[in-house]
Amino acid sequence: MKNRLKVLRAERDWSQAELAGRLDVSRQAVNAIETGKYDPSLPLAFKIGRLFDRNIEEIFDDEFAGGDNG
Amino acid sequence: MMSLQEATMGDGREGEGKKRLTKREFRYWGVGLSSLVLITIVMTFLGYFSSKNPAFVRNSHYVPGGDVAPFFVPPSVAIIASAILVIGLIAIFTYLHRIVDEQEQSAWMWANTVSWYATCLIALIWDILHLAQMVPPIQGYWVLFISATTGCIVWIWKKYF
Repeated sequence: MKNRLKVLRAERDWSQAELAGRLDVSRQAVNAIETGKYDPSLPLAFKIGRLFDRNIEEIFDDEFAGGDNG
Repeated sequence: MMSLQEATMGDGREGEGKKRLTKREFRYWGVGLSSLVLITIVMTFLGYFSSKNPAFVRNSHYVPGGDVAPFFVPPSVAIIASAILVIGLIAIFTYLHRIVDEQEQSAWMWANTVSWYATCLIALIWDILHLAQMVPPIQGYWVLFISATTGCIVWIWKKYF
């Protein structure tokens, strides 16, 4: 899943380690989310949203939103 | 790619001359060291009682999983050592799996699933080949070693790559 986490982190001049500390996850977890290799759970996605004061949809790209998915 | 210096900046560790462990790293080190201490205690315990025993004979042909034990310990000592290991390792593993984050949890689940499949496949194939006398009988420790190594590779892949 594509996301804007790296951009938002860069805007605040945070390192991956600092963001990981704020989210109470490992730095590898932040890296995996940023590179799209791992999709966070809903609780973690909400936590990220709260941290950056954004809605989840503003951070994570719903790749199925434009498609015919029911 | 972010350098190590960049990666550790801004997380409360900079400007202190040497690298300070984060809370998460501290907990991981705690788990690792506790496991080492526990295993050292059990090995020392076993070593002490086996060397005290008059029937102590070191077997130089010892093979893990083979028919001959490397040395003798009384049954009560073996039971106590097993109980310490079981209780200690369960406590440590329980703590470890409570502190891992969800991405690590995912890596653990992948690793353990693949490791389990590897165990089943290796054991089955080994046994079938043994029917044709192509290989010696199954040795549990080898199966365990190969499946654990497979799990370890998968864990590293899912966590770091």
